[in-house]
Amino acid sequence: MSYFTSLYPSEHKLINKFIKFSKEEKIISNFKEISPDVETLASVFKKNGYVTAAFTGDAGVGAQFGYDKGFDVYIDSSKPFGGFETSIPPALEWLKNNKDQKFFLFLHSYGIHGQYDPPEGYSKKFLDFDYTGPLKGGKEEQGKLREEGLASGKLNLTEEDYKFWKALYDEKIFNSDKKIGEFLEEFKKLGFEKNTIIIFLSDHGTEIGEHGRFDHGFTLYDELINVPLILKFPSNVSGIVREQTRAIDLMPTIFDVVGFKIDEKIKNQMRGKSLIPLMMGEEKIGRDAFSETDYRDYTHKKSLRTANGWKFIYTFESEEKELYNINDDPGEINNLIEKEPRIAYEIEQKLFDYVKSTGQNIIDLKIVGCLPVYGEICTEKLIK
Amino acid sequence: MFLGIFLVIVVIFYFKRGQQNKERPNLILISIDCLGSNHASSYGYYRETTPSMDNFAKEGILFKNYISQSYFTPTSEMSVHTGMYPSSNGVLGFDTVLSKNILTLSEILKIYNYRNAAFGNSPEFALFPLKENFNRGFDVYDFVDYTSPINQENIFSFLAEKKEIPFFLWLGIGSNHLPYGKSSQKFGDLNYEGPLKGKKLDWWKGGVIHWIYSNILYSPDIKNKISLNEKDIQYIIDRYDSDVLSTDEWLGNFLKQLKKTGLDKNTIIIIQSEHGEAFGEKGYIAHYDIFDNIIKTPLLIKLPSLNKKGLIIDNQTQGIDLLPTILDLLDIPKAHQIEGNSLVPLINGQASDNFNEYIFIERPLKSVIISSSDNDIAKKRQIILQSIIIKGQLVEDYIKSLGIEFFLINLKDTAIRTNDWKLIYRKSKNYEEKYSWWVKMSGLEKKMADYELYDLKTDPGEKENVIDRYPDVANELRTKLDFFIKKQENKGIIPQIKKTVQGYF
Repeated sequence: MSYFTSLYPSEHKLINKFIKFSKEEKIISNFKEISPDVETLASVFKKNGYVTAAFTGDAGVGAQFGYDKGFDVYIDSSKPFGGFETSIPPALEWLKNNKDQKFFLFLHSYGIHGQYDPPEGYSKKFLDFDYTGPLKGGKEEQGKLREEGLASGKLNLTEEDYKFWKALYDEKIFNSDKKIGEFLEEFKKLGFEKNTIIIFLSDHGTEIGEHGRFDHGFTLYDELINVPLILKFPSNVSGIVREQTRAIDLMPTIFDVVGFKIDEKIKNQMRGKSLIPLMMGEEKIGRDAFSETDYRDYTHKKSLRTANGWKFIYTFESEEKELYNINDDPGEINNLIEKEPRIAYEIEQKLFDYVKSTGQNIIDLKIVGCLPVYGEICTEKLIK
Repeated sequence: MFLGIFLVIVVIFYFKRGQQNKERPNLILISIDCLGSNHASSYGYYRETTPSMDNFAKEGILFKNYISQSYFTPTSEMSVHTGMYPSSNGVLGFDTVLSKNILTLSEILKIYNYRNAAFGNSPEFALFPLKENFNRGFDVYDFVDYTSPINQENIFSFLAEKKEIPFFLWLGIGSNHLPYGKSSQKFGDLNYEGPLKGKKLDWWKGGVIHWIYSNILYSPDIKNKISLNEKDIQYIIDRYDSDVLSTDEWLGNFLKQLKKTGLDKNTIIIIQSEHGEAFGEKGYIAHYDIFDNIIKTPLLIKLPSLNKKGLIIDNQTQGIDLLPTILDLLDIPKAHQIEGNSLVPLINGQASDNFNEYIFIERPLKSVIISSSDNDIAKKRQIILQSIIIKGQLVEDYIKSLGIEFFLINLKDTAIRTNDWKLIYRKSKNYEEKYSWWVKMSGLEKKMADYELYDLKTDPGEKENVIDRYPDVANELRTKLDFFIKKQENKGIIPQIKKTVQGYF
């Protein structure tokens, strides 16, 4: 939702699937109800005369969470965690039927996600050694490993176990990439390539033991937050932007490129900045990236990854602080919080500037399972 | 010839590198214990008690309405070192511990490569556990007793060391503190022959102050036969004022020596007091409550360039403003927990007229009692955030075992103050009427109102509670005060207690 609103999670407020989750009551977080005044990418395209459609794998981007705002058509496939095999065919159909319209198409897949197993099974093509360990792969095992890691903070797995899992993960990437390739071929055939901007991105990575756990949501290390972003323009202009950019920059970039007239409301909403100056080489400095996670009953963390290669992570419930030099230590293993007190101090103040700007109650963040962006609900969570 | 030029260039380059390490000015913070503005000639006291401070004021900035955040040293001074209210940093008295996650002034300066030293004759800072709150980030930390002189040699020795590294010097001066009369008498009737002559003017059991309380000042109902009259109280004041002058002389001497070393040139010097001293004005001696005689104290700042010299600031300023001001002057980012505001815009004439129009003062009672709260959110946070063990029992059980009822969290009165009004909310009323230290000392019961409103312009001595006379003023202030109290309670900060091992108050 940060891509679609250019807002930080605690600002668009879709930080959890449930506002309230207890035995007695479960309230789904519907973005349209929680943040009714927030405009989305789709709603702005719609206002500017585009037809808008989304073909997704449901689950976290299901319409029930309000993702359908601004979309004429919103398909969350009948089974949760659907891959490209479920989202691409209806997307192509829709494209054929809307050939003469200006469109915004959101095409989504869970094909790389932990809860997805390829219907054709795993060929283990990237497994380049004879794995003799106990793991089998698959979504049940993934779920089990995730919960184990969350409970204990470490897993009793070997190097080979992790290599095995990474091979399966890479295979899923390969499969998804293949399907995207097929889609793009069809897309070209339909003649759209000449006047379409195509954006390829991922909303998060996954951890396969890099910091003792599986899956995503509990931490803000680079394996989770450092993600691909590729923009393809009709002119086929190419290049690599090495400076640091953020998810919140996408929406202003798109508006900059398509040349929409953006009203004051949207301008004031967007936290990011257009990436065009970076792409044109006019701007040479990257941007600090502020990230957040409020994960189930486990943690509240915020991080700041500075443009010059430092990552500072703050865990609210324990007040634990971590500082990594990304350039020297991309694996974020060596916590420099004691060795670099001045850098830590300065980045911490910058981080809290971001936290304060989101308006959330810092005291409530000390309590896990409490979701401060949802206000009052917090204290009820404490009565167990 | 060519060689000569080359050498010169090398030398200049080397010098400049040294300068870079000392880009930031030095800092001296002089905290004078027990000096209210009402006994400082710099603030209009009729006696010439602070001539050195007067001279200092000529070269610096004087803050007419500087208000300490609380009424006694551990709390007031910790608010200065953290820029936070006592209810936010958890240091409510001698027994409470500052969380490791809250950075003090000295810790922040250490991060910025300052060398830090603390000297003084304020032994409170050497007490456990208070010492562990204040000594963080100090390379040298040396406090002696009130009656001992401060060794200037050690101070200047420290200052003279690595001159290329900026220093932070904190002086905690306790020479004004009880016992009074450590110096020779210089004011008043030098031939006083009353009952206090020759007595140690201290408050330990058997000491005069304790004895004064037991016999009640100004009251017709005296339990003992001996009574004190105004001459006797004046004698106490005369001895106290003499100590103030003596302290000021030490200060003047120190500043003169500092000038001789030339170290004052690139140094910010701050002189402040963390609380004043009462002499019967509101029925007690020493420092116990948050009336102006205690919380309105001197603050003077001298900037290196002698910038803004002679400037007098009328806006209220407060203890929690000092740390952000220092960081602002030293070009260090402000720590996010800081609750005060930098006074730099005020000094530069860029602050709005209503800057610090309303400030808040807290009065935790000397014995820190924790209790459950009828505030739901604070209560629930208490349960989750911490559980404290005192003497092997949970707090709640320990309190019950003392036979003390549960009261609202952190028995603490809070006040809101403007330059014209003060409104005090006596949350501790029930407790104080029955169990307080004052009651223990005096042996009398106390009857208190829930709220006290004082008209500071016409009644600076705060003699008359006019809460009923100005309902509009009271309501406006009360709304703001309630909001502040609620906000602080919602933080759910539970003080961490470690019993002081020394016998003290």
